[in-house]
Amino acid sequence: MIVFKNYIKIVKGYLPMVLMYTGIFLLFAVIATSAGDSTTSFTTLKPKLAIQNNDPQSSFTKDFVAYLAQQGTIIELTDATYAESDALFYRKVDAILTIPKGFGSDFQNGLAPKISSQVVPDSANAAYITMFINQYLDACQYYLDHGFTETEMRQALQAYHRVGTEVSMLDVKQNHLVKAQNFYNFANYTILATTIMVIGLSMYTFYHSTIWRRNLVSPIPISKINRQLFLGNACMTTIVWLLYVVISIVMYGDMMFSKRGGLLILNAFLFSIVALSIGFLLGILVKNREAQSGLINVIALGSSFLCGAFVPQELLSETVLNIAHILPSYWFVKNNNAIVLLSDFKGSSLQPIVISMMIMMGFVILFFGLANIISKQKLKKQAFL
Amino acid sequence: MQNVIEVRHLTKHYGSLKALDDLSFTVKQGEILGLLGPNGSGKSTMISCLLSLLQYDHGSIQIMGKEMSPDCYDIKAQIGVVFQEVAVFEELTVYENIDYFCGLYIKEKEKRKQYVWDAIKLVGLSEFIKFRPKQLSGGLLRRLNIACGIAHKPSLIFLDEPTVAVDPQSRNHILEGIRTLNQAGATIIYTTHYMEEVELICHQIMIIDKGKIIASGTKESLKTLISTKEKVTVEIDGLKDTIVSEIRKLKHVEDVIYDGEVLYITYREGKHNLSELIDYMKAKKLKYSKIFSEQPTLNDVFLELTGKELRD
Repeated sequence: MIVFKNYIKIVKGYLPMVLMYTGIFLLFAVIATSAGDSTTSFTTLKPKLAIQNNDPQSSFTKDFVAYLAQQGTIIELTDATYAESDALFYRKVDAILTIPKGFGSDFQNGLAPKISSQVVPDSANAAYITMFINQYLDACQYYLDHGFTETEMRQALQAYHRVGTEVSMLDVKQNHLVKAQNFYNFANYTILATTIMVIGLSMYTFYHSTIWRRNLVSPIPISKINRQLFLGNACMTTIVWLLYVVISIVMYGDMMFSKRGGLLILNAFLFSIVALSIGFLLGILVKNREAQSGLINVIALGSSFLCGAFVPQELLSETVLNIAHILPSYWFVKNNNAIVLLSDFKGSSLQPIVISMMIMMGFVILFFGLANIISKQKLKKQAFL
Repeated sequence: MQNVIEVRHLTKHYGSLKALDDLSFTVKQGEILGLLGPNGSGKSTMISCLLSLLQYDHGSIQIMGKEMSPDCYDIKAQIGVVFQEVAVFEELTVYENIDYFCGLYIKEKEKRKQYVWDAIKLVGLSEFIKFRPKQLSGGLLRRLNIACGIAHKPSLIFLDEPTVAVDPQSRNHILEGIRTLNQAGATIIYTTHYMEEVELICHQIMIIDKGKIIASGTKESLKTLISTKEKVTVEIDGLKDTIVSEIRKLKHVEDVIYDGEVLYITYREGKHNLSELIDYMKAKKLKYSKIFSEQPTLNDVFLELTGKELRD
């Protein structure tokens, strides 16, 4: 096992680089996945509005104002135009509404009176206010058109507005699953970079023509040397994968032992094998150490950006995603996203995930096949066969 | 003595180029064979064929009485190779490098440890065992390369230009080491560009050019192959053409060249050529500042046989 032992000695030299990548990754992963951690409850946003009511006696208008007070927060302003402008400028209110005289009776008589408004430009809250007004008045118009009396309409509106949207926060476990998904998506970059780097550079060292020739003249058969190198590569890939699995367990606890967590871990393992095959191919293909380091970054960063490791796939354009289909990272990230959204573990639900995993294994066969062909060509060229 | 290497009619083509042309030779146990030849003469191709790194077209190669092939691991176990290009792991220390290459041959830990230390001492790297190759000078790196190739104490060693670009101190160390290995019983095939190294350590010399052996034998026997037997150089100014013509007619003189300051005379054979020349110059009252005689070197042999300098 002299070759294997030597492989491990060589790989040890890359340990600081692996730890550096992992450290930086962890920092980013923690920052990115802990955003919004303090949110434990939900409160409806209430826009602030001031109302100049010139129709205070109308019961219709009273109901309307009460509705607005329910949807937003009414701010009392002094009666001066100067004060209104100030209030908008200093964002004390998002909108100031002026209800015209006779608004209630005019509306019920189908005259469509207009409410004048001053709003903060480009304000989302002001847009909410406009939306609330339209919703209320459209509903009233609907009831009137269908022959409701004022009393019936008031009752219907009150019943309608009592119904609200119930908001419940995701539980901690669910939250950890999403974080683990982000963690493994981010890990696309570091697993690729570290595995390719370690495997690629060590393969480059062993398959360098001078070292290779020396191994060829030794009494150890080449098949045995290759087997020991393969064992070394397999160990290194497993160690890198285990490192990320352990980190994810430390960060997300029991969730990683759930079925979904297990699938995320399995997906990462298969992706690590893909990274191993890429590293193996690069080690044989690239003749120059510096060029290899450059290529590692291009491959790891490029595929992470293109395949949605850093930016969610939903936000990427269709063209980018179509291109990304030819990269293994796409299937890895796609699977991470699909695993989190799994509603059950029936065969039909798991099928797309298994297909993506098989595609990843297809990449492994492709890269190893290419490496085999290139290495044979190279050896023939160097006349060592 | 037993033949360690027996090569018969070895022929190798690279496309239409004949790299090795019907080579036949033997190397006896305990010999140091110096392999000389200009660049592209076929030395490295021949070594690659001997080591089964290259397929050849015709002929046979027997090493230690067995037909050599890529899977002759028992023969390979007894061979040490030091390639011209330094082949070491940059990531490992001097000790770890030697230990790895020795470990390809020797499994027992204790024995290997002893062998590694022997190799380190042989090439004089004891002070550098924890250094990485990048921290070593060119000469020390070459010594490491040699240590990696011979640490397992092989009985047959191939050394392909091990002293290229090496400082004199390292070169002496290397040559001394090769002698020690030979004295310990190793048969050595030594390829070099340096004639003085071949003269110093090799028992047998083989000159190859254009894939053919053009001469082989001991250094003494090779020197008999050329017409020049002695060279005399005289530093003298203002020599007349008539005198140069007279010198040309002296006994045993083959050729005379005069460049206005130095007179070069080559003799075919004979004894006392120098004293006879001095007598002649005294008689002619010719005053010279320096006069000396040289025996032909291997370089002269090489030049005359191949028509080119060894480093061409």
